[in-house]
Amino acid sequence: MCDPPEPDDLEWLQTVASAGTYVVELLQPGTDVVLRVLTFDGIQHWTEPREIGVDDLIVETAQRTNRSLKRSTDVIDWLTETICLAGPEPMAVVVASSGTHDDKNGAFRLVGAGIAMDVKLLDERLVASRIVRYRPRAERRLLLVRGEIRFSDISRTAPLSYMQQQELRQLAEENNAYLAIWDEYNQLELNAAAAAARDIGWAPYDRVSRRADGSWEFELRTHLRSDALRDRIGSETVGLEAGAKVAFDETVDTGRSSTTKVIIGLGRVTRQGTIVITPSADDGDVALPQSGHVAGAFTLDKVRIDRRNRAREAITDGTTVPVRQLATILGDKPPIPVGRRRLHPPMSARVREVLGGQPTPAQLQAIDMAINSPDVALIQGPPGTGKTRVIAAIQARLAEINRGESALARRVLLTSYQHDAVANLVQAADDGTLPPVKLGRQDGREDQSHLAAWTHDLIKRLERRHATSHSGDILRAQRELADRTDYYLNVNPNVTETVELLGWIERHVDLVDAGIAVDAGRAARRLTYELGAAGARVHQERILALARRLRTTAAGYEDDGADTARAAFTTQSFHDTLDGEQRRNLEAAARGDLSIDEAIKSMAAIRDSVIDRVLDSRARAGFVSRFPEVDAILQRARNEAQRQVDLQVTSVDRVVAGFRDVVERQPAAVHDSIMAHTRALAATCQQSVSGSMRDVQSVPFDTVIVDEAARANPLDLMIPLALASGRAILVGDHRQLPQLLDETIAPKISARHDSVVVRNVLSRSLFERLFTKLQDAERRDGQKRVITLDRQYRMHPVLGTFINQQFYAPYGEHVTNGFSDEARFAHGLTRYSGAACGWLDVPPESGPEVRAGSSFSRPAEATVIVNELKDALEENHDLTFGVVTFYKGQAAAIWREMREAGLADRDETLNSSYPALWSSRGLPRVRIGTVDAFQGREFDVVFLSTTRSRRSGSRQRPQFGFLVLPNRLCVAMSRQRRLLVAVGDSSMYSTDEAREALPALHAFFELTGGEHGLRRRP
Amino acid sequence: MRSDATLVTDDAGVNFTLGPLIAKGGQGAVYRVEGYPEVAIKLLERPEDLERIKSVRRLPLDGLPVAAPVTLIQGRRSGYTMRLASDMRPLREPYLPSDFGPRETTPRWYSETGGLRRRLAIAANTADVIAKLHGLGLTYVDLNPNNVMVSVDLTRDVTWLIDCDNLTSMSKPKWDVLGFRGYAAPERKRKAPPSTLADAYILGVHVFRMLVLRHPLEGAMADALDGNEARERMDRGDLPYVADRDDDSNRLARGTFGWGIFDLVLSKQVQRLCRQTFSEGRLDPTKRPGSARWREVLFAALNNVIDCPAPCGWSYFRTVKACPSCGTPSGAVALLSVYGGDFEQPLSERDTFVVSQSIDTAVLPRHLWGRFDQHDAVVTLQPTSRGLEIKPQHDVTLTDKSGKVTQRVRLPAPGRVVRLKLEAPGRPARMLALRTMAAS
Repeated sequence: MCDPPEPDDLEWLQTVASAGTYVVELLQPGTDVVLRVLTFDGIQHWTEPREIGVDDLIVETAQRTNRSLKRSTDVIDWLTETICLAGPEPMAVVVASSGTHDDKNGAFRLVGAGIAMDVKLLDERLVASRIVRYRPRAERRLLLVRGEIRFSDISRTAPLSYMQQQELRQLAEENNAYLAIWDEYNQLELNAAAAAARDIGWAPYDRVSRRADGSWEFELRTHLRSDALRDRIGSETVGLEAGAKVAFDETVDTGRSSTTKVIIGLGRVTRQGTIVITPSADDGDVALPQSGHVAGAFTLDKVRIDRRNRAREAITDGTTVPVRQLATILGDKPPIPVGRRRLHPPMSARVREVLGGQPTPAQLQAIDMAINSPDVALIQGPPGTGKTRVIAAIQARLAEINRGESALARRVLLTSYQHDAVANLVQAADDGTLPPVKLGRQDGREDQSHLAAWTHDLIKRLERRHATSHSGDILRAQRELADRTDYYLNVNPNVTETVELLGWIERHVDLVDAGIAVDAGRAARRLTYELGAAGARVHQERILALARRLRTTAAGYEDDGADTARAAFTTQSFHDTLDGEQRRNLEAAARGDLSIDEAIKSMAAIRDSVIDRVLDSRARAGFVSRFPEVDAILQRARNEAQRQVDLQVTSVDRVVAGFRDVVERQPAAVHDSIMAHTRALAATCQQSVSGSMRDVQSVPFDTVIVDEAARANPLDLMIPLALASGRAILVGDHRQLPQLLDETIAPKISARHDSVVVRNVLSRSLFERLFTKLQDAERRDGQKRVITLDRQYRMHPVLGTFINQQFYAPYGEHVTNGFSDEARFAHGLTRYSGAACGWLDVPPESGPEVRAGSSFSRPAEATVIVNELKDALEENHDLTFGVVTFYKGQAAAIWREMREAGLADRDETLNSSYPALWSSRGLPRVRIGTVDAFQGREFDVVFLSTTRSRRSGSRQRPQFGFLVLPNRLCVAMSRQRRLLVAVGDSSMYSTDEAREALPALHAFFELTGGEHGLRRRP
Repeated sequence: MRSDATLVTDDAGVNFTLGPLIAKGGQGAVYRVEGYPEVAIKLLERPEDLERIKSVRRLPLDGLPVAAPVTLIQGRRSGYTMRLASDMRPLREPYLPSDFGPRETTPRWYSETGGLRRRLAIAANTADVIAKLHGLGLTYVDLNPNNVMVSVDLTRDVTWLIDCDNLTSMSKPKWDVLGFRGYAAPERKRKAPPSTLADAYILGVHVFRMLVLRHPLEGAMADALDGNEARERMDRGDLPYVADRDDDSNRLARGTFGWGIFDLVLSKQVQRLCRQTFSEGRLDPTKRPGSARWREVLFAALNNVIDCPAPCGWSYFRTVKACPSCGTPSGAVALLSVYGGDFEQPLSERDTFVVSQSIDTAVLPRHLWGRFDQHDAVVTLQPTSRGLEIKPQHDVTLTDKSGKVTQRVRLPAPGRVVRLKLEAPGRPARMLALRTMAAS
């Protein structure tokens, strides 16, 4: 049948065969037969099939041995093939227990082709604990097992079983009051948007044109609805959209048109009755159908809410490990077991570099928790605890760990609730290698500013390298010469441009040497002269006609030769084209002084010469073009410049210059290349699923990091969470500001449910909820998922302690001071001597609080603050100042006062010509606004305008309003590094009522009376 | 910077990079120029020829569809630049069979290369340029299909002459060029100087070959000769005209394509000009009609071409009652005739042309006043479902008999006439008569 095996193998086979206990497997049939022969020493019977779990660690090990195993299911197949023996009945081989393994604890070792697998009993189930390479050795005793072995996927990425899916679904459908209320909120938001759009209405148009300013003009069809729409809009400007369909009403018949193109923007009615819509985003060259509908804007709301719904579904379906875990934990079920996986040390030189020093234990733990998280991790970052640096470190460490793998597979999504926050995040997470790329449009523009700034910085760094050196000068000049020459060669330049180029060369004697410079100058002057002679077309026609009329035959000359000569001679432009001899001859001919023979000869010569000159100059002006003389000068100039560069510039400088060229001139290539290789993409929560994001990232993100997670609407937060395949890391602080709410919707929900529950749900963020739930889960499975960064480096220790006592300690979260040295926080302002906190009292008699729309203001406080601010700005030129209030009305009042004092312009911007307002680097030193705009920012000194004041003589209880929310107070009082000054009616905050309602402000007032405080009545 | 063989520099100091070759003849080759779609360059075989080019350049050729020298190229290579639109190619390629390799001569090929309408249009345009040169006292001398450039687009018929090297004035004619083989006047073979009448003979040959796809002397007798000898004898005028009234020895052989289409593509007037040129005028130049006459007759023929009502693609003279290709009967045809005089006393007819019922018809200065130098429509007739919309130039008026300005007319029933008076400032008034010729 086939050739006999090698003699050694043959001998061994014969021995085995005679012993009678062996198993043979045909591995490779055909002409070269490969047999796998295992001898064994005994036989075991397993009556029940045994199922062995394969977890993440085994999957990872297997993948390292065999690169082609992409997914966990591939690993299962491979293990089955390698370990189970194919045959009429299921069999496998195990190592006979040598005494160290005892069967009671269920441990045994399976032997397969080239590998062995240790199996042990864990929580009453068999689990593969490791795989090793295995070589058969004679002394090993093997047992043949008759019985079935199955491998089951217990890795995190294992496909969900039907049971598990049902369980998740049930979980989602169970009465989860928290999410149910948010779902309702979502629906109401959609309804409200649809109602608003419906209120505007819709009308058909049958003509559309693009106007010069980029807006679109629509001619409405004659229709009742058209009149209604015009009436409704009237002289207002409203949000409109236009396209084939009516977004808010799908029942409107849109004919056969299938285009989904739509433009959205502010619209108005023109005097002619047409509708003009100015698109709010740059729509490129969208092709709108010639007839369609104009309607109230709704598409954007629909997109926003659809995105939330899709994320909700993803969570319900448990599409990825993190969301599955999230759903389980939020549903108060025991967390899905995380199994074993490879753990990475959190610390590296890179992490230390990004953090700018040794991390605190909590920071280190946060990084550890995040990079090794099997599903979800949450980091609470109280003010000044280095939250953004930790994010940057996590990002850097992940990039380090995944260095060998493709960017696509291991990419990080950086996201937050608002464009500004995302931009800050991008800036913070830029660890100096490849910058994260932010995707998505803000106000209709792609925000590439960070990337542009990064490129710019890179160029600047490269430039600085040879900014002042001679080498740099010469390289720059050479590059400019190359640019100009390339332009000249590619564009067929006109004469003016050519002359300009020659002039440039003439001026750069040092680059091209004197000989070339002189030639260039000469050529430039010649061109100028010759083209100056070309003259206007009409003149040329006239000159040509005169020249052709000159008589060049004897008969003709006799007839009117002198007359035609005179006509030419007396025409100035004709005269100008002649040389001296020609002029003399023409003059003689005009006088009749020439003999006929002489005359016809010289007239012919004049005629030909004049026609040729005119035709040449006409051609020159006609062909906008290049001149070989100029080409030659350019070639020489380039050669000479190259020679100079070779002589004077080192090769390193040259390579750097080349790199710089690419970075500067091919921004698109740089952008694409960074996109492809960057380890992090950034977008707002909503835009994490935008089309441009999907184009770049086709597979889920390995890691999703959400900053300011407590400020995101829970439904928006789910969008990025559903994109994480490996882990989701939420960073934020629920003691600071919560999510923004549509104030009109909350009452609608309250009307239907218990209003206390509703308020509780809507005022609490998903982040806060997870903070508690994840801690519960930790108690169940011991997996650490939550950490509070507990050391603040921002504030003066007195203020740090104050913030901790007021806002964190009551909840069992503790923030200690990273710097105990008070001198570090000295501000040097004489009016505040050595204080860290102060209260400027503005008593009721200074002026009352006044209503400002739905808000409040107190002009008296504004005056005090601006006075204090002005003096402080003048006294110290380095400190930065924040002016915080809780009321829009008061912020406006402060801006008014700033304007009075000459510190601000009409549109609430700082006076750019007032030097003290600007730092030496040109950055503003003052920021004024309501507390909502201050989260995440820090200043040396903060003035806090408390605004509300007891009406003098009133017996009413004081009204604290907004101030009551501790989250807002926490943000407002934790922005300063050195000094916090409250400005307001102290009688209002020193009462027992205030102690009850506003413990923090009351305590602060008390603090200002202490060792580090200062009280003053300005 | 390039210095290879494709780079040339003209006298004005401009550098050009040669593009693809367009045409090649005994005196040189014509190339496109990279980066200048409106420019072509001719490089000369003999640098001596440059002298002649210099004088040609001085000729007043502005405004003529002639690729005249713009600047000269001297030095390593000799030649000149010329203006030539990029969307044109030499006539030889699509129009002439056999001369330049085998070519189908089938009805289908004939119509796919533009059919009678386009051939007549190009013929008329060629006659127009030649007539204009003759009007300036110049002879072109070397008319042949290599030198006629036509639009690449089959729906357009812009026609330019290139290769003006041999343009010469009649007062001081240059002799040396006898003409391209198959495109020569017999007297030039006998050392007569170039003349406008020699040009007219070659123009006739050119027109005949375009329409009938044969040389006018290439009949049965020529077919019986050896190819070279036949060609030589044709150029010398030693053979009778294929449609000579008195000598039928050189008739077109029955059943050949040329024989089949002869009457279909040559109008009666064109046939008369051919007889005058190739029978009486073959050896006696003074008997030949001039190029202006050719122009007139060719445009008149073009005016009376209609398209097959079925979409078979053929175009033919309106006097033919059914499409010669597919047999579909010709439909009713609207005709516009131009007269002098007034309503009371119409003078003799000046021109008659077909008014299309599917596309706009331009009434041109040549129709009204015989002006071939102006190309803007004086009146445009737009077909509508009810008749014709009349769109005159802004200072032109059309009035009916009652003196009322007319903006649209209905097509009259067969046998009836609509008359209009056309008045344009500074021009003689014209009478227009619109008729419908009934379908057969």
